[in-house]
Amino acid sequence: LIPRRSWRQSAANHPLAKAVRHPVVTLSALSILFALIFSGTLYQTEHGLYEAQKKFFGYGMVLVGGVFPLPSASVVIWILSIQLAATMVLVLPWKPSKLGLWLSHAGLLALLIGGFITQTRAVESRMTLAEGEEGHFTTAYQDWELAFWETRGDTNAVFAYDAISLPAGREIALSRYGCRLRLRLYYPNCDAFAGTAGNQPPFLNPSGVALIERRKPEKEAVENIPGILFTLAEAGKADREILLYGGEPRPLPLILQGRRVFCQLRLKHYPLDFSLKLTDFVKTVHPGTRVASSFASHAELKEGGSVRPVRIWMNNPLRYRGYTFFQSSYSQPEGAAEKSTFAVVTNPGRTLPYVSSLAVFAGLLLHFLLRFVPFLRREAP
Amino acid sequence: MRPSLLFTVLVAGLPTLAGAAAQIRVHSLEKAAILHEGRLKPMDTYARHMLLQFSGRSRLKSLSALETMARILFTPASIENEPLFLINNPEVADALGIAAEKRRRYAFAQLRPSLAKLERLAREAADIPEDRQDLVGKEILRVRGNLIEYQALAGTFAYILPDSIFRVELPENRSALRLPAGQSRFSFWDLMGNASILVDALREDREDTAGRSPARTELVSLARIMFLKVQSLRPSSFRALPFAARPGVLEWLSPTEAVASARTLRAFRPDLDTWAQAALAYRAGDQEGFDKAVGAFNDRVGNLAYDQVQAAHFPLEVLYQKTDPYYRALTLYWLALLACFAFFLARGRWLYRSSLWICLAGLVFHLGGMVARIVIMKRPPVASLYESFPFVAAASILAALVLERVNRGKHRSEGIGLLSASLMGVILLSIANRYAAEGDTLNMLVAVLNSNFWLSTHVICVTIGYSACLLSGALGHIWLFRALLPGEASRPERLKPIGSMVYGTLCFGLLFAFIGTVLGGIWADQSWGRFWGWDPKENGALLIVVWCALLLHARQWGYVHGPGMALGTVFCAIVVSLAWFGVNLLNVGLHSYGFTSGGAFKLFGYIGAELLFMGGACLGLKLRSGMRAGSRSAAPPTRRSISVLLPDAKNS
Repeated sequence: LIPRRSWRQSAANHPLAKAVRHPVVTLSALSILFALIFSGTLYQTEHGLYEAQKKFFGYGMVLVGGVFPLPSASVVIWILSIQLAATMVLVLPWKPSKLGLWLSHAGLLALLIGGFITQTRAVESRMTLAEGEEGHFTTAYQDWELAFWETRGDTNAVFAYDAISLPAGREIALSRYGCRLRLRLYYPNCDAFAGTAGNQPPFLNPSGVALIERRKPEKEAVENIPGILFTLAEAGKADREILLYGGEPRPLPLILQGRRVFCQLRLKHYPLDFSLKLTDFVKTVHPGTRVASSFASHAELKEGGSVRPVRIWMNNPLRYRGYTFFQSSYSQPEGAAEKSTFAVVTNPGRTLPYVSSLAVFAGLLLHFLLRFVPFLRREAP
Repeated sequence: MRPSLLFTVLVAGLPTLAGAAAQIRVHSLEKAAILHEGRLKPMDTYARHMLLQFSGRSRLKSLSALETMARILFTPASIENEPLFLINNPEVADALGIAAEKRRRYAFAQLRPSLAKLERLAREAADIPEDRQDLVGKEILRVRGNLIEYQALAGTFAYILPDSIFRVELPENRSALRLPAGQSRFSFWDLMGNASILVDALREDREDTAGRSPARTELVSLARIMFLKVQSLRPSSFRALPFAARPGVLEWLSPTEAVASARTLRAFRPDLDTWAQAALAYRAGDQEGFDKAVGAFNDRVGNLAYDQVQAAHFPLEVLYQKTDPYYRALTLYWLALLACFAFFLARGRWLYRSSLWICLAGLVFHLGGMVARIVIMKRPPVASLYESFPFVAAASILAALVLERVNRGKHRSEGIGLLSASLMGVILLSIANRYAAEGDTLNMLVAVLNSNFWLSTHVICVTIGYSACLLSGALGHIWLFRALLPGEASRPERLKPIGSMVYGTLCFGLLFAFIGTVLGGIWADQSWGRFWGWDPKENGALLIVVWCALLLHARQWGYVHGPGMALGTVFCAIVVSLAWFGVNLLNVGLHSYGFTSGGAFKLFGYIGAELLFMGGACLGLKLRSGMRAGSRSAAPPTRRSISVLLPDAKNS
């Protein structure tokens, strides 16, 4: 797989290749990365992790200190990855003494690729269950959806739109119900207010919300609660103005073409092919204190007709069908059953960090040993 | 309820504890089991922790921590005039209306008149959110907490002493309560034995208030005082009584908690009797009786068949506390450092050997302390911020001594590794010593850290990375000092071996910092479901990796040489300090178990000093090269002199 020397040489001498793998590019990229990580970390204290990630560690440009325009961390990491790949393919000599460098650089490249896959393909969600409760889906941390569903026997037929894809003015055809939906406004974070007594709100709403007021995004994005206002136009009927707020526990029932349909602005749901039932949650504390020494959830994993008892506890997740369930947190509402929350992750690139870190470690160790042994021989008195 | 009655009960508590300072040895008490902060500890550890908490010291004048604790528990009056309480801020003393002491330590007798004022100030301070409290407010709350704990401890065995509020004058009542006939003052303990009679008297009194006999009146009054006494008992942290709460589960109560209800009183009667005998023997100066009672209690706890009662490590823990190996190691590192300086000045072989052997002796204590902690806590050596300091010190000292071994017999670099080793030992163990002054360092872990596998892989790797980077920083300092010494610039060959050491340790640092960071990512993946989240602690580790990579690549491509590498590694030490505890000050992210609020000023002071040093070193090197350039114009330079003038020109 290694290109012939002559081909490598000529390619390596190409001006573009030279420019890409120029040491100044590497050193500049590393310096910028250092500055971004430092600034992004400090930025988190005031603006939270989500904003820092968007601003410093995503794609695009960032003004560090409000003055210096720099590419953001993901761009810099891409530059370093391309440079790394170019150096390996074009320059790095293929000889035993350089095996350590090959391994470590290849591992680093795999790590960066793994990071890219995780960034683009991984889905993080959560599932909160009370003791005795069974869950068939997980919910997103901060992504919202406008969902419509009708109940058919034991199941719900659902269709939903990502809230982020709903700009004001957009029209969506709900062909299944022969109506159209026209977005009037969407606030990513807002406060909701009830109508005054005797003053009939002009909107349909399941909990009496009559007004939503936009507010600044929270420091932590998971604390944002959105609101939406849209018009539902059904042939032969008067248009209906619907106002929904993300904090409402109940959906809005509607009759569309004679069918009972529910509508709700909710955290995005991810259905599972199986279900998980929490049978018991156990919190152990260090004796005489309130400091927890462990949390454990005893659950039943159900799929088809099979039921398997499982235990999920700190540092010991459940892995099943590409999903990983982590013991994340718990709560004990007064007078109610204990609740356990699992972080649920699907990540096609999750094995890459393991393989790549092993390769980098082996590579660095080999390289330093290959350098250190001659150094010891040379320095011996 | 009559307020005067309540006042009598509350105020009468402490004077009844008066007792002469006993002159007996408390050796038998040191291995008594106490449950404190989630861990079963020997009494010796508990006593040290409490004394540190109260006074910030491990001794009270000539009294050991254990002796002090015995006095607080058994004869509190004998310690009331000792300067036991540390008040760091003189403004707090002013606010309490007491004269500020030079040593900032105050006796309980001094503070007693100001307790009400302290309570009022503490309530005001507690109303302010924690993140907005000033130093004075925090100190008031700390002092109040200590005084509450002290009073609870001082009242632990008050139940055994006769008290004037428990007076039974009528013989028929003494007979009914099965009390001895020859006395009229009794203890809470005497009366609790027949509490059911008092409860009945109280119940009957409610039903029939008319025609109360004098005997009934006395019983009812006594019952009310007993009730109020139970309400006023303060549970202390002295949890010395094991209690089988559920099958297989043992809970521990303090004596005041145990005597507060008839149910626990029945369960603990034998243990309470044993402690009562110990307390009375202590007060009477009866050495044999004291040892016998404490021995009986220790045997009983030792015979309990519960997993929780694992006291096999007690002798080692007591030895560890008594030896204080890190402090001894610190002292020896100081001596080694002084001997090393003397060696550089006088170049005597015996000075070199002395420094080396003293440093090795310090390392023996140092490693011994670490092994003892591993055995006691049954976990890897680094699980808290405090534990990271001795570990990082040990790893860097070992690495520096390896460098010293490699350079043994070479005139140019002999002693450099030794100097770095003793310097690292002194600095890092001094910091550890400061942290140890805050209390017991053998703490239990929060749930997410409770994993010996990850503690022994990720944490160890990262801290070894810190060690190597700090060592390279120390060597960088030495390089710069040596380069700035008069006459040294004319001998660049003396700098070259140090430059090699700087490079080698930095490579070592990069290797372990990178692996530790990646292992941390894998732990996060296992624990939280994501490999990387740009959390401040993760970013701190990444900063070290990026800086090391930047520096090594710059050196590889010839952009930096000796001075650049030395300055770069000094900066690397700053980066390590930020990653190590600087990010803990931000109080953001998932690593909340490591958050801290103190030390920011010292950290910024350190960073400022290092930046000044770097600036000064840059200026010094520049001036030196300028001066040389000036003299070069007089005489044409030779190839050798150019390499001397500009250390950058030679790759060292």
